[in-house]
Amino acid sequence: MKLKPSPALVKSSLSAHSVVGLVIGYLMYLVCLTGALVVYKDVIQRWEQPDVAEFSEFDSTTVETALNDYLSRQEQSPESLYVVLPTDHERRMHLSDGEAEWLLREDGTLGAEPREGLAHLLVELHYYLHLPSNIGILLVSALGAMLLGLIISGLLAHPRIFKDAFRFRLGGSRRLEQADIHNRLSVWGLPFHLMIALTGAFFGLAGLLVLTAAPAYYGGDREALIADIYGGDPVVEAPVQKVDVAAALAELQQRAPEAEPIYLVVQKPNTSGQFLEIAASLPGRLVYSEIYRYDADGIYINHQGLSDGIAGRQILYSVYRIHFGHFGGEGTTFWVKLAYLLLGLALTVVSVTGVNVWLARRGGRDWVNDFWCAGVWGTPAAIAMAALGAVVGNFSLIGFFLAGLVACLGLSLWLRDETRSAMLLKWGSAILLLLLVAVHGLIYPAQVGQGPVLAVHTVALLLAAWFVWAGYRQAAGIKAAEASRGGLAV
Amino acid sequence: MASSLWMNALAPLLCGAGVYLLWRSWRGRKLLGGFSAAGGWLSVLAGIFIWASAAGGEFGTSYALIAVSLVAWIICALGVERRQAKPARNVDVAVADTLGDTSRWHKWGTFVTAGPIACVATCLVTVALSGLLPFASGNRMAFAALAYPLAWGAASVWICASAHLARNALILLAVAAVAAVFLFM
Repeated sequence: MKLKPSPALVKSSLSAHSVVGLVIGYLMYLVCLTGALVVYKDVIQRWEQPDVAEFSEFDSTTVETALNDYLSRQEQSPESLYVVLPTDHERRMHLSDGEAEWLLREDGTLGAEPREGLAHLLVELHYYLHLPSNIGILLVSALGAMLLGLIISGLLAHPRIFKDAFRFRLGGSRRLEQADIHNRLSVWGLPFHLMIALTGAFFGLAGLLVLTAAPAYYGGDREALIADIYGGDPVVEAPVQKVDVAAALAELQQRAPEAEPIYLVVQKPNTSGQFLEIAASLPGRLVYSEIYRYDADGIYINHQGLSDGIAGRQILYSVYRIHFGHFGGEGTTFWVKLAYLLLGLALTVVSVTGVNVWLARRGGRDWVNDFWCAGVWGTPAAIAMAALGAVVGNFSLIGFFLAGLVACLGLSLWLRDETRSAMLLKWGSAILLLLLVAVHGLIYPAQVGQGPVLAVHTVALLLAAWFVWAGYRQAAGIKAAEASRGGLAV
Repeated sequence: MASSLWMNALAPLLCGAGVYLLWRSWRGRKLLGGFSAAGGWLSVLAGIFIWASAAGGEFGTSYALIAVSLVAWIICALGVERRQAKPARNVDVAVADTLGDTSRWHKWGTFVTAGPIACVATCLVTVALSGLLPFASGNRMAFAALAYPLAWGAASVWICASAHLARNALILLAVAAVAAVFLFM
């Protein structure tokens, strides 16, 4: 018996694949592109604010200084006080009360506030499409669910999936070329695409599930539902005193020597219910962290069971690292991130080529071609323009991004020739990237040769070179097409 | 330690060899007396197993799946067939109907049914069905959290693939109503 879908099923699946793909086309492209770049969010943050102290070592005194410095400045204690610890990969220390955030100096005192630059724009676009967070996260998660639908329909619409698995034709008919790129990237990237879609959808749709399941199974108590999955908070009642961070860190070192603390939280600080949580990553585990709880004396209370609790808890707490590629053993973290960048960019190309296939198949051209061209090639230019705005001054990131996108759209609609528009937009992106590197280098000359700045500048220059080359190829194509038309006329 | 190093080196080789054998098989250049495909899959599975043994089940499986994707893309790129590009027509040509031949109402109906209606219906059904699973309550909710997006995606494809929009919308609404009664009554 052959497991081959019927022609009717193939046809209807292909139709559904086209409809869903077209409806979410640009948003999917935007979320995939920004998601691929967000993998390197920490490097971009270090690049956009390179004059901040970096260190990978800390001790309890540094943490206590930070907490005391913060509490001495505030009249009211926050609900939770977070201290993000430096590691070999993330060499900056932050303190946040949930509302505001500070980067910490090496002695633990509060330093500058983080700048809202390119990394912030990419995160806002990827998580929320820069909409209000509760609407945006739902919309992005819906895209994840639709991506799952696209994967299902794509598999059903592809009866020669094995036979064609390695067939890759460039040139020839535009439709065939784009379909080959689309199919080869999507079929072999399937495990990654499934994982990205499922975990991406989870972030926002979990909220809808809580709203539905809490009244049905937990008497309307949403916190009870969340505690059932992730584990509840301990109840502490003790006289108010300073939290003994040193004792807690020392105890953790004895209890779980393999655990690497990544952040700590003082819950309900300066109240009788205060307690300390130390989140620590565990080697070989995808769970974001285990959370160890201590009272103000630094005496161990319990741990949340994120790494050894019920299976569902461990799986859901692994979602972040799996989705963003923040995992890997010693020496492999770099390669995992690079692979995630490539896989993410591949999914971006899949989004683009899917719509390209549809455009090529329908024949003719109209404003849709111009919109699509401006969306695809205008977005990198708009991102580069927003980044430039953030480097030069404190300009509105989303304002610059949208203005850039609208300008690209205007150009494309005015030219009514997507090949020429794509060429100009690629060259425009190259110019903006070169400007970005030059301006950043002028503002931070002392940091030009240093790690993250050097890395971002190198990537930006390589990208600019690629845009120049790709635009040049397009220009050559235009010339060849004009020459052949001229020849025919003669 | 040394054996772990060897395993970490062997695993990607096995994954790569597996993909190579699959390429031989599916492109009609069989090796191993016609057992290329089976050998390919076995090699990939062996790569996953060895990587999982060396780097732990979670990391090792992730590494292996990533490696298989990347190696397959490299093989596709190496075997590219280049053809003479046909010149693109960049003049405006009337497009009969940009978004298919159905009415505007049908398009909006499809959007609403595959979007919000399917979203709510699959949420209710997933939560209701997960409550029947023989797991701990936390695990039931975790299962629902992962099954729900899959159910919504599948429902959307079903709606878009079928010509019977009204019938399918009614089925979704009816199923949602039954699930809501089960959950809240």
